[in-house]
Amino acid sequence: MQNTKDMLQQWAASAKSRIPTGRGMFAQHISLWKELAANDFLQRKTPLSGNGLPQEFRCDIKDLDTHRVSVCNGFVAGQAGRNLLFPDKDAALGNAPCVCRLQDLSPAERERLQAFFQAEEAEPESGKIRLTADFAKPGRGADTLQFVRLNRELAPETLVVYLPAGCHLDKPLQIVNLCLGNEPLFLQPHYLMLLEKGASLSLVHCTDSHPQADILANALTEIHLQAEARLEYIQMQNVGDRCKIFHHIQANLQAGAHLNLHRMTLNGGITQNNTEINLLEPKAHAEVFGLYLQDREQKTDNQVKINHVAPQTYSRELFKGVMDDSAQAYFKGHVFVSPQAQQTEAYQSCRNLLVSPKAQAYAKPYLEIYADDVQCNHGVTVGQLDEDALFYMRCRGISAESARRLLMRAYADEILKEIGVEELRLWLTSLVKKRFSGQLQACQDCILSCTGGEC
Amino acid sequence: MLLEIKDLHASINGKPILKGVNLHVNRGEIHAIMGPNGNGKSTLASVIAGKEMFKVDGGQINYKGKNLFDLNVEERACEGIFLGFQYPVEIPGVSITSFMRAAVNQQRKYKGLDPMDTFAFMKYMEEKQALVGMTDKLANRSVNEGFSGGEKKKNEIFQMAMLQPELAILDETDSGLDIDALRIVAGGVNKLANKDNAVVVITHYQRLLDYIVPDFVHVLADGKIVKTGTKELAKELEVKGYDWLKDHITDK
Repeated sequence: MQNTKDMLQQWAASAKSRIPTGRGMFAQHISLWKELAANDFLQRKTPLSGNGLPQEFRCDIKDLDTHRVSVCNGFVAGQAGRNLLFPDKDAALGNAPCVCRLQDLSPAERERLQAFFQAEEAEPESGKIRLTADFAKPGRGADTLQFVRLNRELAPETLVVYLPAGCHLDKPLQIVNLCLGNEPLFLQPHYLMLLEKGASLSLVHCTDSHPQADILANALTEIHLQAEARLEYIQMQNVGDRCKIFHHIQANLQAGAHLNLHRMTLNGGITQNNTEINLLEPKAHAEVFGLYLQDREQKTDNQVKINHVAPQTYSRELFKGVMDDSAQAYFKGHVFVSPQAQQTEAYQSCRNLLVSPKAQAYAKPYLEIYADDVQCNHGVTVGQLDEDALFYMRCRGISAESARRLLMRAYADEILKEIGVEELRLWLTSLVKKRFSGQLQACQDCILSCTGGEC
Repeated sequence: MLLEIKDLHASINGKPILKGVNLHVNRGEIHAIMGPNGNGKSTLASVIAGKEMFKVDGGQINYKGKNLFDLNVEERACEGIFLGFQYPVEIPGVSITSFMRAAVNQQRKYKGLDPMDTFAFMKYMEEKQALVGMTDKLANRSVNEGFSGGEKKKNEIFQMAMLQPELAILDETDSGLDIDALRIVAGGVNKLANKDNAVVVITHYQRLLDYIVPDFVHVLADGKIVKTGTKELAKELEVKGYDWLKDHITDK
């Protein structure tokens, strides 16, 4: 078996030839290949264990009652072999909901679970001339496939979230993902989520680091929703400016399944949120919301691919960003409607607010439609704070700075109000409020400051 | 004296608009400024409020004995100047309640007072809503978003009631109002006017002055106040039109 170091060297070597070379507005500015090819990449450590990790963290979310599971540097916290929802029970894919390490399941169960996530088809070889018939297939980016493979090869542990048919968890599940360390790290957090027929779950997944952490992460969440299953998934990131987090979420939805995905980027040096949703059966329904609040030199890249491959499927994307200082934001949305996917509805929208003269936003909406009976639209905007509104507010005695913050918060609210669980919505609203008033630092309001350990 | 404007000159993009305005306003008075379109009425209101797009080229404004030009927009508001907008701005996503809460509390802070607690604020707001007949439903909507013309102007008077200014300048508050809305808006202003504050209404028409009875009527034409009189002047203007005044001035 190859050791990790050799594998990393191979990845680093092959990365050099894969760095996107395009130029201009829509070139791929943010790419994991760049990071893998960087001179200091091989000096990054890949943690061998989650040692030193407390068994459980206390997370300070007021009024928020959740089931909580922690993951640290890609390792799952909690007793080996156990169902982390009910620590007195063993990990098993039975009649009860289960959150556990993949490694703690029996080989037969592992196989059963992984079968949901292995139906992969390689993209046609690049260089080959593609025919219309090739385009009319819901392909996935060749890069994405590579990064999925990288994660699966290197992820030390996998967190499994399993809900049996018809199961509804009594309260939201919270996954706290920590990036800790005094030296540069390369991490591969990996999550597998299976909701069986009719199951439903609210999930909040926060990634935190301490402010000085130097982390490169290639995170992967794989989701399978069986018929009529419902998942509300709030993925929130609040890490230090030296962290570069690439997080790919891919989801397969069967008939009538609902996915509400929120991608909240509150803080981070480089953030790439990659989302791929496959609407495989009729009436599958996906809504993807994104909010990115960036300042200083932060960069964020949201890429969303939605494949409508069955009739009567629905998707809606709404991404909004507020960019301050010299921050940069990129958005690339791609809705694919296959010839079979009649009566599809697909809506795609990305809006950006630039609040400083040096901030930049690039947005590229894209629809690729091969069916003729569909309702689709797309739109992107890049704008500034409304000067008339600022003057109006100042005329009532509100300071210019408060007026700006009020307008920015109102802008973000359109995304926040889509969060179904009220406590989560209020909590995120308060985080966003703090973010705008400069009170939110990575590490604050979450676990690290409470453990008093590394921080 | 509450407000004293001396020989005020102001321009926009190099184009002179105000060419030597003089105006004195005392507490307890209601003034009406009338005049044809495009002669500087709204510019005068904007300059007093502090809108940066207008350049002050000369003259002085003293307000409560202070040089008004030393204060920025929000400080002027906190010192008690209120501008009722001709075209109130829509602010999507900010409810009237949170807007007013921010305004009331920032003005209190400026005066060294503690912020109002939620309960007291809601009660206070309810009281002022009643004054212009604003429903809770409207109060919970985003500021002016999708409001009718009448609702927007009611909202301006409601804000005036909330902030209790010492000097209220109402810029064409009557434009776009039907007669019922006009009564409500004017009724609100009359209830708020008292011996300690002053109101300056800017209007085209005599109509508003049937409801808000001014102590003084000024005519602003070609960047100057060309005539000052009592409410009778407004009536005369209504009959004879501004052209009469133009001739009148030329004669002089």
